[in-house]
Amino acid sequence: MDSYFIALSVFVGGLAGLSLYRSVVGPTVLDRMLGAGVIGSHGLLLMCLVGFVYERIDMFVDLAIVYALLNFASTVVVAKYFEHRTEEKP
Amino acid sequence: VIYVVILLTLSGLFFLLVTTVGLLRLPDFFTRVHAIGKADTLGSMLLLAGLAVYNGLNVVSLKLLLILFFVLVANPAAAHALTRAGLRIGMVPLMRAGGGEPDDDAGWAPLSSGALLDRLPEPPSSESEPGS
Repeated sequence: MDSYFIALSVFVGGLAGLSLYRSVVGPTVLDRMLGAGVIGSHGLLLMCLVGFVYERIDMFVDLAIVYALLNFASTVVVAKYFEHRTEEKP
Repeated sequence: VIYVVILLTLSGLFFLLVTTVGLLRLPDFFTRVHAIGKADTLGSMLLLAGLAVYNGLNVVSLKLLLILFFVLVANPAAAHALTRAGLRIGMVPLMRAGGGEPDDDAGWAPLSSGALLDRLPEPPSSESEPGS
């Protein structure tokens, strides 16, 4: 079962690496933030899978909770910032 | 139990693949948010449910289910915040160029600017934030 989780981790990490394309060449700032959010979400899943591979899931699951909170907070804060920034213009 | 775990994780991996294909291939910001907000949520939830089933019945599974419900709440909320920010700063979604029939081959073009922004409610003034 360990090799299955390692293969799953490799696939999820590869998908996160492909999502980096949208975060680098995205046409707008919100496209980049969308790509960063997807990378964060895949990193959360990768953290849980690596915890099962290392058999330290009781430690990694706490890290995953904090990572999910930070990912959500960063996306909402960046969206709010770019929403209110252009309203200052006359 | 092993077969249930493999079924759940492989279907979750399929939805994550759909997410990445949608993120890379779709033509517009709003269609990309549309792909992320649903497929990524469902893929993450299926994969975390598979891991919780594999782990058995203890506190760690409870924490995995906590992450699952947080993803269920937070991921569409983040997608909605990004979409609303995109509309407020004046991005226009792709529409049919003719505007009417879904069958005609008029191609895709951006909606005429301002036609959708008139329908939005006024943004709240930044001085009085009710939530903070």
